[in-house]
Amino acid sequence: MRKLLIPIIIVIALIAIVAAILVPSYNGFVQLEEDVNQSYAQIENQLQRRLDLIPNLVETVKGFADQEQDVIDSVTEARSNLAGAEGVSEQAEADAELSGALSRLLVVVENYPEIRSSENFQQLSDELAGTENRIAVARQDYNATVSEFNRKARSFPGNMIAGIFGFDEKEYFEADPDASEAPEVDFGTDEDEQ
Amino acid sequence: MKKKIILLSALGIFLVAAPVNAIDFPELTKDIYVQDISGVLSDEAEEELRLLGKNLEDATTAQIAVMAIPSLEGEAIESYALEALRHYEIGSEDENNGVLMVVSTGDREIYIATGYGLEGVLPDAKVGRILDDYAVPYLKKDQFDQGIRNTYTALYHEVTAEYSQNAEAAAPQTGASQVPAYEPREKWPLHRVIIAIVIGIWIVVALFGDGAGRGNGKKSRSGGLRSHSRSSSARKSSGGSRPRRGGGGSGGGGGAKRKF
Repeated sequence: MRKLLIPIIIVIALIAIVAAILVPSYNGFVQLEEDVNQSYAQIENQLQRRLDLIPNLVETVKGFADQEQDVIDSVTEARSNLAGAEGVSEQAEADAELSGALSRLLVVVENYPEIRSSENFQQLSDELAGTENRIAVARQDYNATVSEFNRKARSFPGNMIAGIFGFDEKEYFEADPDASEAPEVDFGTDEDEQ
Repeated sequence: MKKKIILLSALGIFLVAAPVNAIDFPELTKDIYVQDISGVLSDEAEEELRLLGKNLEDATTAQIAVMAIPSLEGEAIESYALEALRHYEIGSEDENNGVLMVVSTGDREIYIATGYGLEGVLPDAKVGRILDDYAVPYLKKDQFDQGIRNTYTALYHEVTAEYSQNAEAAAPQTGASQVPAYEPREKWPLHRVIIAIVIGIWIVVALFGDGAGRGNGKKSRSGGLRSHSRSSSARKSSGGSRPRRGGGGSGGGGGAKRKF
């Protein structure tokens, strides 16, 4: 009995050491994943705010410049694309499309001093500019958190924990598909070399 | 391998947009409320704003700060102001109720950045109107003293009005409160099993082992601590004769901009 006890304790102690390494790392992942979710929710809040503002803007512009139907339509269309977008990359894509359409609309508005001087338009464009700025900030914060998460999920011993518990790498909020896929192509096989 | 890690982190930085902490903000020598690096404010104006700022903070914990800088050095004023707001941690940590007005005298631009907690009191459209009414007419004529004073006072009145109106209900929403609760993942039973094993092992080791067992316990505990210590920016006290600093506040890009 006494003979058996010592090896058992050694094995148990080894397990304890391994667990002592695993648990903090796992908790780190949970914490980081929550940070990622939080910062993504910030992006979604602001995207929603942008969606809410656009119908007002479109109405205001229409009131003065009904003949600019093409530009107005492209904004409306881009808006509904964004409203229907699912997932990080699709949303990023649709958001970029909407930004393009909006900036074309604002260029057109430059030709209508009566729109620019209307108080309603002034307020809306302040709100829209603020929202765009918030989206940019939320995107930056989100991408920074994702970068931290992914770095942890790729390096040792994080990659083991990530594998066991299914912490998948997170997607960057990035409109250009080439830019967001580049890391996969170049560094996707890293794990084995560690 | 090392090269790949460097490449990877370089790529990470590239993706995450460089301006994070890229700007060198001057060390505070005076109270946070007024930093006149361009030197466009008169001594009386500076003192007046400093007192206003102090009063506001003492009464409400909200902080309004103004920076006059000679040049943005190519940075967009929106991101300069937000970086500064976050760098100086303007506003209280709990309420994020900071406002920062940045005037670039060289670029002839003004921007007011609002912290998360004041986005309700100072929505972008209202900030824009304050800029139109109080700042731009004076700044256009290079009357920086008047323009900055008027604008600061207007912001001051908006914030105090809000706090006195509903002193109770003034609890502003922070960024985190708009966020859905974290849902535990399906894998939690495994996680719990591991914890149970660890606890069991600790008990066994505590019962049978002596010195060695205790050593193990210590090691794992410090490991746990290390992973939790998220870099909390050193809180600075605002007591004594040292300059008053930011209270730990942050913002998410709200505000409005004007050229003059």
